[in-house]
Amino acid sequence: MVRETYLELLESVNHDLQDLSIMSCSALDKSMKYLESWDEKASEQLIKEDVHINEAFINLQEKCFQIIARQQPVAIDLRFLGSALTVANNLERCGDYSADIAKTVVLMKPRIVDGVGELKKMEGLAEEAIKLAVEGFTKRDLGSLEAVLELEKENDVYFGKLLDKLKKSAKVCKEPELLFRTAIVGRHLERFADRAVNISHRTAYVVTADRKYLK
Amino acid sequence: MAERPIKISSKGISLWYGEKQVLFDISIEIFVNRVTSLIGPSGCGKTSFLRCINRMNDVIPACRVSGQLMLDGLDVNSQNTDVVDLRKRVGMVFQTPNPFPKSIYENVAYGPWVHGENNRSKLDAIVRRSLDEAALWDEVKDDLSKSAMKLSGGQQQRLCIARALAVEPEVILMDEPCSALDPIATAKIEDLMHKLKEKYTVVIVTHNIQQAARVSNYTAYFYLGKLIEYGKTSEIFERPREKSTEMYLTGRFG
Repeated sequence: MVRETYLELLESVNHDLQDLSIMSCSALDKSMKYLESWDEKASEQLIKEDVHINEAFINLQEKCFQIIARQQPVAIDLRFLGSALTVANNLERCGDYSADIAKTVVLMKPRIVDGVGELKKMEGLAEEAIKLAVEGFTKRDLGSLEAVLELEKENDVYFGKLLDKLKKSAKVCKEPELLFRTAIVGRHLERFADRAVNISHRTAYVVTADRKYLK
Repeated sequence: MAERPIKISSKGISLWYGEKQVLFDISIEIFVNRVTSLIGPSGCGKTSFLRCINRMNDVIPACRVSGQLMLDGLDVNSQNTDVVDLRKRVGMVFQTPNPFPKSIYENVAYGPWVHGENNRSKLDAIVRRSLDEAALWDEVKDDLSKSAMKLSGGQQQRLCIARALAVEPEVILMDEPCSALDPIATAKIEDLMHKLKEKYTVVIVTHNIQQAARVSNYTAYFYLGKLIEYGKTSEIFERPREKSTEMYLTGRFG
């Protein structure tokens, strides 16, 4: 008496999370590309497109609620669905960071002159961390946890380097807003990687049932 | 796990129906004033174990039990144990409501009367208390002479609970008490279980794992005649220790 429909529904949550992860990473990729090329029009479009990520999150949330209400999951399935809601929320927030970076392009003039290298590096690390974390969650694979933690740590190092660079520039820069907004972009990228750690901790909770990962 | 006194202690209970062994070395401690659910797929031995508690298996020919089952200080399986007294202390409610074809009053008063109570005013008080505890009094107080057979299925099951309560048991065994009831009647029985545990120790067999999650403090999972896992319901349903428990609860087999 295997509950095939139910198992298919759980698997569809995995697919939706992967889609949401792709949407969020793609948004980040575009936001940084537009930041580098200072494409205000494309950035404005990207801000508008954030609504699609929000919709995907709401749909996934609704699906999880439906499964909880109608299929009454327990044990590992309950941990999975409860955690899937948190993972989806983390990915939705990642979409917001990308939209916020795009807003920087629209709001900030002139373009960024300092710290582009660090920002690009952080973007690569954050994206890789999210991809690994979501893959680990959908496969219930604890193996990626250490790698995600390493990526996040490296991301923090580059954020530190970015801030050091901006501090030095502050002594001579005549546009303090430029430095301020660059730091905010760095902060968004740093938070992006933090979300990956949150997701990996949820994977650990689903797999081990140890509540220490919920803290 | 022990948070309160133990009411029933089973040590190495095994059970055979003829040559066929259906329970293997069951050891479990059931706590006083708690609801304990026995769950597992059909044929796993949960009902057989439930029936060990008040020796209902005695009526099955070629049934043999080994191991020790203690109810407080009483050795349930001892030849010296008075089975009639045991079943007064351990009442039972069955899957299908089975009221006697008599009035509501007579159904409830019958047990105390059989045990020697024939004072009418005392019987009246017992009937009222039992129906009240079974959450049925308000619905039938003006119709006590009505035939029990005219009650709805849910009311009949609550009447059977009242009948069990009338002899002031310490333990109530329920064997799938809601399987023949609609959701509203089921909800009433489940609410009742929460109230009953304040005074009694309740052990329930259920195929409905969500019912076990809703009503019980402790859950025991049986599979192929063995007790696989036993613990607090909150833990069993969030993080079972055994893979087999998880597979059953999540519908991956059963």
